[in-house]
Amino acid sequence: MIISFTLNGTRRHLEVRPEETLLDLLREELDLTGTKHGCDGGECGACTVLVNGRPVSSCLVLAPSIREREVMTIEGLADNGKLHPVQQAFIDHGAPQCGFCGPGMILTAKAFLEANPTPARAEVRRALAGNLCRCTGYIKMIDAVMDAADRLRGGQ
Amino acid sequence: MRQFEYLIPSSVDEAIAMRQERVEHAHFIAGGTELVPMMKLRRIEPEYMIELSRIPSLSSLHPQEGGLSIGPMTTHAEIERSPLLQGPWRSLAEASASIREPQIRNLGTIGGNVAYAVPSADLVPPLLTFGALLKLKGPDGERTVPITEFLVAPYCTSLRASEVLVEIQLPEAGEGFGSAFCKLARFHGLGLSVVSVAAALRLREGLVTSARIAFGVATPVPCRVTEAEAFLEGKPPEPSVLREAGRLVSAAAQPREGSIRASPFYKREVLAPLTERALGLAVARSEGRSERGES
Repeated sequence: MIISFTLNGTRRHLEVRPEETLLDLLREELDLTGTKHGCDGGECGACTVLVNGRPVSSCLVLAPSIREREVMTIEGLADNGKLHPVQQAFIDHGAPQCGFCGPGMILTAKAFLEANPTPARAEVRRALAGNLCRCTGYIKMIDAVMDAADRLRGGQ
Repeated sequence: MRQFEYLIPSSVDEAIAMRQERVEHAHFIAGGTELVPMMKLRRIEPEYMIELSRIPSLSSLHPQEGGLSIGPMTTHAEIERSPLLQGPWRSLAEASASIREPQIRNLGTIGGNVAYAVPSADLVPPLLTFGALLKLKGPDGERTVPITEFLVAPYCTSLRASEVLVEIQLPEAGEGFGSAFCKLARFHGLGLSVVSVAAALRLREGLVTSARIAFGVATPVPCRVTEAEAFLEGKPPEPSVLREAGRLVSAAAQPREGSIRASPFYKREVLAPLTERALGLAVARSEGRSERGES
């Protein structure tokens, strides 16, 4: 079936197979491999993308259901080559580590900070609960998100 | 995943007609958080998927006759955030907020949680304490059933072929009503429930005039604990009374052997303090107090 949706700000019209997930569509058809294929069961958060601004596990979303939605992947986050404050804070704090969970983690953090610009540390931990990091260095990520919150409030 | 055809109805009637034409070959899909993994494992191999999540009439959440009307395609995230669920029905928002992570709460729906009928469905115990009514629509028309009659067994409901859950109705709560939901899960209360308790109380002049307690994952199907409810009615909600209610709830549990999450012994041990905690919060809320340390 042919669907229309917005991907990283660009309107797309594509033929999709119903049994394809949004994750498959992004990685296999559109070569957007920033979104990672982890557990394939909605447990790990590596495949997180934003649909209408909200984080969802793209491995659980059937491709036809994104018609007329706005999808943002990690490739769409930087603004003309300028990194988003969450991305920059991740780099500054050494938070990416191996990098596999990063795209999902960063997109989840971006959506969270838009809804909650002045978070407590415990709220950040809860917001990131669905993004597993097997390098296990969550402290740097939480530091980065707290710092990004400061930067976003400061208008940087 | 096996190939299938994806059907997009624009109304409930169209969805019912689509299902009726293809009965055993078709499956309704809501948020997909349960079904999509099952399809990947090939435990479910429908030839047709009928999408319910984008039918507008199924996603409405509004006050109705003093109570609340909840469209079954309302997501957990929407319930968690709705100002309509911060008052008497707060336990439902707490249960929604406790379901796994944001990525799942933005997809999963209350209708999917109720109709899929997993024993650990967190929204069910609060709905039991509210006396929720479920409106079902099928080829032969509409019928409304209490949630107690809807849940038959694990993964089994009284939903007939080609019927759709179209509305969840919460009756008017009234004055002095407070509710709370507490669960034990690993990871700070996120994740699947090991065991859960919902409490809803009405207080007048310092006495419990009505009590509703329901537990989840303590019996094959979540249900109310009438022994504990009857014990509480007419009594002042003092610590010793709440403690005894917790003991009665624990004694009523019949957890199944062989659960990978906890033994029956452990679940019974946890249920008593969990019930006390839920009742304490419900008391505070029915008196219009907010309690320190609640989460």
